[in-house]
Amino acid sequence: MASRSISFRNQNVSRNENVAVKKVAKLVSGPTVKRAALGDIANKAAVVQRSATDASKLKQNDTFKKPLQPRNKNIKNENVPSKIVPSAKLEAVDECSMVSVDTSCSVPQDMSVVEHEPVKESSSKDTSNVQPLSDNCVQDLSEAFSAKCLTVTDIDADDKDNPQLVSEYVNEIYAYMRSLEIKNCVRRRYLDGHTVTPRMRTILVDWLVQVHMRFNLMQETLYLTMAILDRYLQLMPDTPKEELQLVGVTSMFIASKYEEMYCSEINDFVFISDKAYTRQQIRKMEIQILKKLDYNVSMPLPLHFLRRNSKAAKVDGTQHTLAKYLIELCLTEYNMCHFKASQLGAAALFLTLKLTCDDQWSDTLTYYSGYSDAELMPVVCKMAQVVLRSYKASHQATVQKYRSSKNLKISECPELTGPVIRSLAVKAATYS
Amino acid sequence: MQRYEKLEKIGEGTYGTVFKAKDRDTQAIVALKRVRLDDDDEGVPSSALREICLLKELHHKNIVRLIDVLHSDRKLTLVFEHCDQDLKKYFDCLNGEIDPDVVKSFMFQLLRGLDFCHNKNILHRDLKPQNLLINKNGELKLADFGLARAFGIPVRCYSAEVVTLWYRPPDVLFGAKLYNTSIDMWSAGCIFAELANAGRPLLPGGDVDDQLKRIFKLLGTPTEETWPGMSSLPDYRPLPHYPVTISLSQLCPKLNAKGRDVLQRLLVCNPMQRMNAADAMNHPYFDDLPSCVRS
Repeated sequence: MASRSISFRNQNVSRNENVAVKKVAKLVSGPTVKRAALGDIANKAAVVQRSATDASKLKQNDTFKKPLQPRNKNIKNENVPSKIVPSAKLEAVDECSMVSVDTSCSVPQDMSVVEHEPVKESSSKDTSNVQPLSDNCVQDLSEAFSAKCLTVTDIDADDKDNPQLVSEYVNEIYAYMRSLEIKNCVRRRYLDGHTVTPRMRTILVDWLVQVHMRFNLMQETLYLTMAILDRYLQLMPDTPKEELQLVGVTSMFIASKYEEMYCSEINDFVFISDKAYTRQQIRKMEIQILKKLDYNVSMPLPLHFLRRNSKAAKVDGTQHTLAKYLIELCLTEYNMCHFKASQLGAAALFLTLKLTCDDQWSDTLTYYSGYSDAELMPVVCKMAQVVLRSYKASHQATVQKYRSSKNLKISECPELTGPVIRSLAVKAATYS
Repeated sequence: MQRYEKLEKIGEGTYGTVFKAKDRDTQAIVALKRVRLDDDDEGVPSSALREICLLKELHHKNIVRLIDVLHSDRKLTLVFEHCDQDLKKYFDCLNGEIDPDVVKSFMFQLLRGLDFCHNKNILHRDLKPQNLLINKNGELKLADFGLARAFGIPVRCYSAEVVTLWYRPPDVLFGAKLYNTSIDMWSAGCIFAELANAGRPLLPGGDVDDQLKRIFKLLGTPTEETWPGMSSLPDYRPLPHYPVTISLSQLCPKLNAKGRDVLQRLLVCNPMQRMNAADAMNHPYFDDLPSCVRS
């Protein structure tokens, strides 16, 4: 399948990889470079499984990054997520305590959510901060849920001294994000009638996940890439499959300009596509995408909402990483791309809680996520299906990515194949 | 480019030339910001891309309006509403005199524009008089979002190479990459003092070191007690311990006591103690603001 064609188009990588050599040779002699992207989608199923295994090896191999040397000099100051997050060290990366003293950016950014709430404090804090919903700090969400029915903890009460959490603005900002996501929806089954098929999309996204890893980009950039990609494709039913990879890399090019401190260079994207497209083509596509989207690139991402929910649930680093993994599995999944960022951000945490501690969706979570448990269940069950399918799927980049110790080897966690998730997946049928 | 008739060059923005032009369809005067797209460059500059994306979201009377974006092969043209002048030029024709009501009105509008941005998780990061536009009817608008960016929560590290030196807060001067909306509030404080003094810059430093010394001479050198974490900032170096010798009343003699209080709360070295835009707007200094400005 083409995912592997894409992922192995970079011969520099494969050359140093014994396992991969044979297949690459095959590939090179196979379809033309340009078509390698998505032209051979239907007939490569046999090789796919192996390619995934190789991908994991490549990922850990230094040579995987070699071709991108020129860029490395640019990113040395960047907030590259630290590579040190084995679970034992989770406490050590307490961003909260680092805020005032450390600005060296070595904190894995997404962990921040969970570390603000040291476990030891939580019990005493719970009661002191329970406030009625009518409180000013939380008024923004009160339209959605009746104040009288919920017992909500003000999760920002202790953040006044932490500038990183912008507690003065946080509720307004989330209310604003919710209003933004409504404006930028992707239709369910948006590819119906398109030249591009869901399968091609899956292959492309799987490859983009690998590119994102190799470029060492911020997590936001990956989510934003997907948001741009789906919204553009939705508007362009005639996008030829030969152009799909161009749309993909260009979406990532735009996302990194918007999100990254030091943007990847256009040549990196030409290179990573194995020169299937020229600089000119990428530049032209950039303008075309921006025009089509009317520059609507400021989009709230599932990760934004997840962070808020993880904070509200006071989950630990492992749980937060698991939730992130669940969302990322959904990125590849065409059937999940029409869900709103806030839905995915909430459902992923709900599923995580169900898998790890059988916790209920509390009033506080209902309030801050904007969804009740009943509203989330259909998404949660679908997500469970996605997880179970992921182990058999041909696209494995995300599973592999989360097999690393940096990601706490979360994709290997036994709960992901256990009875709870299975019964949820079975329920999915009742919702569709 | 048929639609717009170029009238004159107004200036240079962060990444392109700005022209005054006339919309042939509506006869309206607009400002055109032209961004060249050369074959060997990186496509749309990220500063232009962010400015367009962010301004598309920001519709507010105190933020310059992006009317349209025009594409051609070799350039991108941003069409903005036209304002008569920027605050810097306004200062130049003041001859050292400014009406205190105008100071109050401009400051309030600056805060309101900022509050709007901050509520939408956007940092401006380059506030200075040149980037504040003024209309004949006394309206003030934030402009030039070339350095602006959206932030997530928790805020992660961003570039420390932001904000023009004179308006750059001490934390960023010490290399802080982790900052939030407070970065703009320092600049707002500097601009407030400059407004009150009819255009005399408060802290016209020559380089980073001089800038820090000027700040500390004015406010007293902070200590680990007054600003915990200061000495851990990436570019921190010990500076002489300056006592506070100048009072704000000497520095901004025309500003009343309430106004000085606002200034004092904005010009705080420790970013965590700097007042935010919403609180500043609610300060008693603005109690007697004419309702036409407030509404």
